[in-house]
Amino acid sequence: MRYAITGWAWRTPLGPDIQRACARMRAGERAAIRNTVSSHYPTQLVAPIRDKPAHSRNERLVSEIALHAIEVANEAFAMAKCETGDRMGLYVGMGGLRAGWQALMPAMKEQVADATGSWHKGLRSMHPLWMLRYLSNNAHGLISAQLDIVGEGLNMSGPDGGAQAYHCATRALRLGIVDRALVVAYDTLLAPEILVEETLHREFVPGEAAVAVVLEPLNEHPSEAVLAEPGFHIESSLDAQVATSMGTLGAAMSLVQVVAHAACAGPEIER
Amino acid sequence: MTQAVITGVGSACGLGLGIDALFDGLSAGRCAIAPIRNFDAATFPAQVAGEVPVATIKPEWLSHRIGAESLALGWHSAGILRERKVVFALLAAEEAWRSAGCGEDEKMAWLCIALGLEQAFCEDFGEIFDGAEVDWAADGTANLPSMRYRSSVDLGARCVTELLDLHGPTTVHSSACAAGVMSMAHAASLIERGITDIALCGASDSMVNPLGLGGMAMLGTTSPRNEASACRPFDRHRDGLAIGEGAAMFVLESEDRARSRGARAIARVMGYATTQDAHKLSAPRPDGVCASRAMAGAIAKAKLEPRSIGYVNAHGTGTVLNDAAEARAIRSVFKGHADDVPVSSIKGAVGHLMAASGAIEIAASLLAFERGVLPPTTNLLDQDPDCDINVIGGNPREANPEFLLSNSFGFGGQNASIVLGRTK
Repeated sequence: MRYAITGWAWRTPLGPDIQRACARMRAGERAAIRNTVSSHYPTQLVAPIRDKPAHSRNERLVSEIALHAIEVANEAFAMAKCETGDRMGLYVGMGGLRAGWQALMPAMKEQVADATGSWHKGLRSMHPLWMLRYLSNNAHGLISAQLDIVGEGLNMSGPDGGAQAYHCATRALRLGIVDRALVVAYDTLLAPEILVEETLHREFVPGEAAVAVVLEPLNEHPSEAVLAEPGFHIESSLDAQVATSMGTLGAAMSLVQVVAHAACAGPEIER
Repeated sequence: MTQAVITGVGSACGLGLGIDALFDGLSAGRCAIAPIRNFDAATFPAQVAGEVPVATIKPEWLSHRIGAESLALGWHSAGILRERKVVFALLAAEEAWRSAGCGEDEKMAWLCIALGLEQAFCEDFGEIFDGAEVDWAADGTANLPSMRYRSSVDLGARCVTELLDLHGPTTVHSSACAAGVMSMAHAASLIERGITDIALCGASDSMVNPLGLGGMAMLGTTSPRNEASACRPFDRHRDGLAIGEGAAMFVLESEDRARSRGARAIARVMGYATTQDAHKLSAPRPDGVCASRAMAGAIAKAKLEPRSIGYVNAHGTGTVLNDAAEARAIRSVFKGHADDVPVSSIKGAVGHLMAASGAIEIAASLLAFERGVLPPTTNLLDQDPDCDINVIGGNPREANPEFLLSNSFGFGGQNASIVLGRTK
């Protein structure tokens, strides 16, 4: 089975416009900037998403990168102009949970190592919704609720969480479990504990991204509705170019590469 | 299309280490909910949990259990043995692998695993906080207790891979409380499509720590009762869950493969389905419509009629909203047969194992096939009329169902149901 991308959106260190970001990437532009958070971090370069997510009531429930994920999911879905419901699946890949230091600091600063009296020493002051901010599939739940997606839903994690989600979506389309699939991947490596720990012995620029695509069977769509066919038509160096230009994007990397390949391939689809 | 069969199972939960401890405990109607011992929980709103009866995990103890001395020492040095959910995953995986008789020929197995995510302990913060705020912006080189801030989400999978020297791909599910069932469904799907003929799947989690317990208490999901009967699924007086911890892992393989190597098939994976509530992060749809679609989908994939199902292992958290919604969902699927199909929840006995809940409940359901016993609903004394289904009470029931259904409905609105069948 061949698939069509009928909706897409991303937030990357090279900006939110897919075609423009790809052009900048192919021109050799790099998004890395000097890490201004702390000069003490081993990593001096980082590749952040420059745009802030729009204010929303979800701010109390999810992290900033998850807000980006919700935004791109909505944009891709709107672009696809497809029906939602039980024949639409949602497949989300995320890198892993981040500690959320801003929320934790007040609750933790009086703690002692053996956790004696930890409730009175600060945990009781935690925000009631802290656990939901810490939930692995919180963005997934909010996206499904906003878009009324009630078909199959899978949430995958790890460095290749986005690739796993994409794989599950294509499987579901191939098996006819769903007719349309919204695939979302997001991750940020710009957390203090990662900047300190994970870049010590590695040579990469920590980045972050959120990306979403709507996948549908290719032969069921008029060509004007098809943005691109995901595949690997472009030279394989494009994958490396994504990393060079945008930094390492964790669980979002694979899906960003899928979109970059599809966007660079142009709109011409052999039918 | 080939069917996946379960040929190995391993578990760890409050009722003990090993699948026999789970079976024995459920058969005897035991309850593992007790005052928390792993840390000082005396001032928390919730002070009881279903803890795995292992205190400090030492490398000697682990290597004695799983026979991997050098690995255990390495994990100990890296601080991994303090990550209880990883240790539980190792224990359960080793037991499942061994009980299935797996060896060199099985090392290409695909690993589908659901691991509870990062939940740090307070002691990990003590070192750098010490009564004062750490200014991250000024001191990015603080001496961090590295592992516990952000133990990577696939750490458990990587350790299991190391332990068993697995060579196949790894898939990590993180769909909250539905993740365990999804890991088995994923593994079965891979086998049915011929992508692999053997997989190790399951889930592990532990939130019995200050942040985990504190976070759940602040959210208002834990029962305020500090007693063994804190969690009372389907009871009129239920008022919240009790947190548990543990793991269950399974070896799944194609029927042909199991037969050809003489492995005993414990159960067949007949069908599975997932849906989403598209409702709220922490509350189910009151009408249970999407949960019922997951159940109906799993039964349909198994090519069965609802009346064929002889037992339902409910998600049954003991929270007011969940149990009522699940009862409605069960009744809507089984309709007139709903009065006949026995339902139970093991969360009153072992607590809510979070990401591992679906896996431990599948393991518990195997009690029906292995010993002809349906698990009890521990602490159910006065069934809520709003949960109008045939709930098994506090005593286990003898029965030999041909097919059973297990539900897992998670935070975030993700629903997963799976149908298992008795082997011939």
